[in-house]
Amino acid sequence: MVQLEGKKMNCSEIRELMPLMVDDMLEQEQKEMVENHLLTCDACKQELESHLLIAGLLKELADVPLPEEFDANLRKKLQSLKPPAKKRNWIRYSTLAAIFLVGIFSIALYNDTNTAPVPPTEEFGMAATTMMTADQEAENPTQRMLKMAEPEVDEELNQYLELLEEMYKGKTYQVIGWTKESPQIYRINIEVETIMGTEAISKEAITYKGQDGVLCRTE
Amino acid sequence: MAISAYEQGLIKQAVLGDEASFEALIFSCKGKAYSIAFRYLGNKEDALDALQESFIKIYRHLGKFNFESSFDTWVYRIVVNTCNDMLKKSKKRLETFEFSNGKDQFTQKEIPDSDLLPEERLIHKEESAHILNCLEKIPIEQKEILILRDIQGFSYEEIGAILKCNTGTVKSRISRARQRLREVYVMEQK
Repeated sequence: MVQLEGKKMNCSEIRELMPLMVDDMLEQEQKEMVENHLLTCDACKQELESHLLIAGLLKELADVPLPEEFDANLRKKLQSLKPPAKKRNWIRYSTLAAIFLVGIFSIALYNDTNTAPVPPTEEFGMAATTMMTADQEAENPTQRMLKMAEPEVDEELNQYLELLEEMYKGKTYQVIGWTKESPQIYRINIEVETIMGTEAISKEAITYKGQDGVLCRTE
Repeated sequence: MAISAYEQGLIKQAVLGDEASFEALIFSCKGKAYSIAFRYLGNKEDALDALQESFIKIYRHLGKFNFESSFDTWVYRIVVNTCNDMLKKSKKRLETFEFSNGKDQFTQKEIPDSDLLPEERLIHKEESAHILNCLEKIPIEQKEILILRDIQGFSYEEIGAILKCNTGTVKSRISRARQRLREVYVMEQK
């Protein structure tokens, strides 16, 4: 057994190093120790041979050719990802619009000491003679605001919203609103909820800027 | 890692929704990506599902690619993660973790002959089948590293970039995986 600086490795230690001998990934000194050990140890020599055999068998498992139908199927799927944005996102955007407008409505209601006159029902296509209860009167301004403030839906904004979804996966957040500063620049305001300890909830307002496909948090 | 101006241009176009640019972008890596998924999941249908799901994710989140790795590396990382997710969902691995009771478990498994390559069937049928069978019997984290290193031939550095770990970690994972596979191989041969 060759000794290097008085160091001698036993079979157990040599076996630990063997797997990396397959790729010649040992340090030079370690490699020499193993090679010298193998000169006199048949058991370890056989073990290394089995490692090399197994690595060879795995290497011989050739690349599996991509089935021909994959390209066409992927193309179809990619095309199906671009339906009319309104159709695809009406649930999301109407929900966001409702949250946004209920907030506006609540502020308006708080500030308004007099009940706003009910707009002509013809505007909403309802019968003019319909008698409305106080609850129905309260609904009309919201319905009017929902109709008037229906957000413009486009793919780019949707991409940014999906990025946010991915970024905040598993976390609680709410999109408060967004603005389109220019054809390529969007500002999206969100509120993130974090539970501190066992009871306290902290809310943080964050603004993101979306431009050219990149979403960045702004100060 | 440097990314060519051509790839950068394709990415920019693909982010804007140009499918043809996206297809050009994935042209060079889709074959290897499929191979990884196939070896990971063991059959064509699951591998195709994983691959499509991966590319859809990549297409939708192309704007998040941060150019810290090569595009291909990013693809392979997502494919590996998608395969892991699919395995967790299906829990198929639990059915194949049982050690052999002396019978040839490979013939009892679902992999049909049509999923094996012709050369595997004709030339190395028994040996290939045996090593694949053994591969199914080691923990998925160990199988994963052997797929990337010994089957797909990625370097230690490339594997580190795909799995987001340093070369030292890659080395120790490969070492443990090979030792484990050898133990199973030897035991199965008895």
